[in-house]
Amino acid sequence: MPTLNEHVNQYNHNKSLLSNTVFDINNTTYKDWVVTITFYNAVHLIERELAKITTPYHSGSHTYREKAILREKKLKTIAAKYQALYNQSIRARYECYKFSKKDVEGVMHILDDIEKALT
Amino acid sequence: MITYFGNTQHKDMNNGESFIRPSSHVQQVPNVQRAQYILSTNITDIDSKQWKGLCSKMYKSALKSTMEGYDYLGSITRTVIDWGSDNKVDENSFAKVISMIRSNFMQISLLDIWQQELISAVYRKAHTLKVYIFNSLGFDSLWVIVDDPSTDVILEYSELYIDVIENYPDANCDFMVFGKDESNQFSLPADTYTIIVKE
Repeated sequence: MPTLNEHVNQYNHNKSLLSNTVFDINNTTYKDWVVTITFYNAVHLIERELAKITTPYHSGSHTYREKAILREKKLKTIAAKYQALYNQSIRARYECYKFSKKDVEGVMHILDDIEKALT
Repeated sequence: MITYFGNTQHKDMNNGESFIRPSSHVQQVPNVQRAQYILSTNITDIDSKQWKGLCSKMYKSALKSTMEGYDYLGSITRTVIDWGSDNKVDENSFAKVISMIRSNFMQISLLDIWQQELISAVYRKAHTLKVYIFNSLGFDSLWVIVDDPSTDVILEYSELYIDVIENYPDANCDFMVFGKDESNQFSLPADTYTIIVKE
């Protein structure tokens, strides 16, 4: 199970990947992957917060993570945003949904909100 | 025994429920007279398009009355009355449809309270077209189908979901929002319960 620092490192690693030109949302044909990576960034931010309580920490599934989010006052404020990212990532990974630029901007905006709430 | 205003011929179809004619003082009410006229009219040559249109209206009125906590049968009867006296409905078919709709909406009352709350909440959202409820791998899935599943719309539904589910820590729910085009590709369990809000 990852430690708090490992969650932080993975978050930074994913952020770095997202800043790659291949994922520039103005040009990219990989909008589905932008959505997926953005979701995993939110996961590592949340797991980082949970690891502050119990470390090492790994939720194991979306359901466990959701319940953990709802138990923690700080995380509860971003519960709906996390659920929305999860929903969009499922559509990206399993439904082969073709996202619009606006959809992806919306997803990235949600991650921004989560980042601000958890700093 | 539960008694409903309706058709006496369906006493055996509904496990102890019977349909009765309205009492004499009720017959003085014009709308009830019209309903009685419709119920007692035995004309079978209603075309399939008319029948489909009426069934759709009846389903929607039953859903609305179920969600808003008033008598579904009264609502359906009113729908038939409003449908117009020019259209005549075979009484057997009418009672059969009421029976089917009743059976369908009774399923809502058998669901867990959190599922009922969630269904009621998504029903009120303007984007909702359909709701699928099923159990898979130990999870109670509640999938909402909308016209345009944009990120903003999905966030709205996610907020609504969290508002309900935070009060039920033991619920294991797989809540998802999909577009109608995606939903055409789903392979859902055979016992999936479907609520059609809009067509």
